[in-house]
Amino acid sequence: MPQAIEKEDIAAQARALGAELVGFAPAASWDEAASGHRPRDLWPRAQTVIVLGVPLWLPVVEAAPSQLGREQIIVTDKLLDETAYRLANFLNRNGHAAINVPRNREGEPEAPAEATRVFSHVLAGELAGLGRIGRNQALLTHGYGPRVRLVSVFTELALDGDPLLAESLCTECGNCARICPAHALTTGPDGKSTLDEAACAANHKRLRAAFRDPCGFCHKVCPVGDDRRLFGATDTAVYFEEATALTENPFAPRFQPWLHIRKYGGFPLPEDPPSIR
Amino acid sequence: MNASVPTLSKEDIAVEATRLGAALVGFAPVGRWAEHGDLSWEFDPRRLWPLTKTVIAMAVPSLLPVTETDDAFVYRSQYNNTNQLLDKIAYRLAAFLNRNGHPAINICRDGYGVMKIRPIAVFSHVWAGHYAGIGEVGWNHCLVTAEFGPRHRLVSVLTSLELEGDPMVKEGSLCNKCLMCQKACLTQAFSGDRRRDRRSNMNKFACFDRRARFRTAQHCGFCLKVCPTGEDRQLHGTPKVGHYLEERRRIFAENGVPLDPVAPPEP
Repeated sequence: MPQAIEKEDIAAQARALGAELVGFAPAASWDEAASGHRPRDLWPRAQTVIVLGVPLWLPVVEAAPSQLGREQIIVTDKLLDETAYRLANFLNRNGHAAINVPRNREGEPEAPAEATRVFSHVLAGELAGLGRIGRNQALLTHGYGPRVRLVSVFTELALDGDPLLAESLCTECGNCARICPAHALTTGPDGKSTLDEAACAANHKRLRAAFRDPCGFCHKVCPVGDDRRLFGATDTAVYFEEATALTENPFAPRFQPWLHIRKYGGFPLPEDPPSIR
Repeated sequence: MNASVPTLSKEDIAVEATRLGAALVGFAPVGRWAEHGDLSWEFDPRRLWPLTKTVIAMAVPSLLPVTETDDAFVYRSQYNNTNQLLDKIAYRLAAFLNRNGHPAINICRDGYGVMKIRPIAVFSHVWAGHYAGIGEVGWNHCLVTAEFGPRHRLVSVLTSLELEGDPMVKEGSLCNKCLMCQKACLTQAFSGDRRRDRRSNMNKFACFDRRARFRTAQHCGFCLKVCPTGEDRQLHGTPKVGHYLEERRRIFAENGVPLDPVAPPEP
């Protein structure tokens, strides 16, 4: 006999298990999405998609590429997969069929290209009202901008969807496209942004070989997110000044924390300044 | 993230850390790194994150019978499981602080992507535990605690929240430089003069490379299991440590490796 269970109960359970962001989207929201990537293409009984998110800490994101940044991704992805699995069990043991869809492994050498990826947690996050997709193709959230990792749980339990965010959060500042070391982000004449996944993945692969993936530059430069104020890092111009400033003075104090984090745990990269090789 | 910042006490934070799985929790004001001067400025927490005011150090135990085992799989599993648990605890404690408006970042456990070329991590959790009063850095360069000796694993959270530090452990109260770790080491990694030095010189390259001589005991852990300090020794019924020197001789013999003399103290 299925137990009556409210959205609030599920959200509270998800938070107790480690989620910081929780949103709900009816599976019907994907009706317009590409065939093969809709929740019901994966699991026909899906009625609701529950999207869970955990933030990445800006002081670690902005030090990339570093081994500490790599560890942060490993730790948050494991936490998300565990949280989603345990939330699916919570629903199942209350009589509501559910499955968790694990984290994708974007950019990893064996990762599938967009065309063959099973499910987009980013699109799910947008449809569940957690944020809006920005020019950098990431989900921009009020709390953390694009510095969020996401995972999804499908359930046959029908629940009200959370409202979509009415306004785009992307300021169209173009920081993400300008900073991208792979030149992977371009905006067409129609104003639509596209990501060259192969270029992004090639850069990722190079960093991974040094134990210093991911790049995440398009996440660190994004001015959106309350975390910028929390961590006292509202100035995004600094990311563009770094290279010149370090050429003039390799020991410029404001950049030393990032250089310290880059120096240890991974192999040197050609773009490292001589002071940390 | 709320506009109003709720105050959190040390106790609130310690309770949350314990709820998440930490066995030991300590608080270190960031000034202790410069004040004691054991590490260079490069390894001051403020070098990693300038807003740091307090370092929260946490530990979970490595269970003595598993640390003693010669089953590499069981030993390795404990190592991996405790590291993963610590990383999750630290991440979620940082999330708890950030959610309450107090900036915080967790420093992940595994900082040794390229251990063999540069065996230094971005941050020392061991020294964080020392300054947070969880234990004292012993002759074996591990944090020796009253509860588990050196048989535990550590992780740290940095926060900009100013909190009162926990009292540090009195020097020499947990490591009396008995040199059992040095005598039992399979690789002669420790050397030094206990009359002169507070802790040994440690040759990390010997620790990695000279272990490869053994088919068995690849995971080693002798410097952890031989430490006579720790309430866990009583709990697990292994209060004495002399038999580990027998085991050391046996491992050399069964691998056909000539027995190393115990590393002599430096002149």
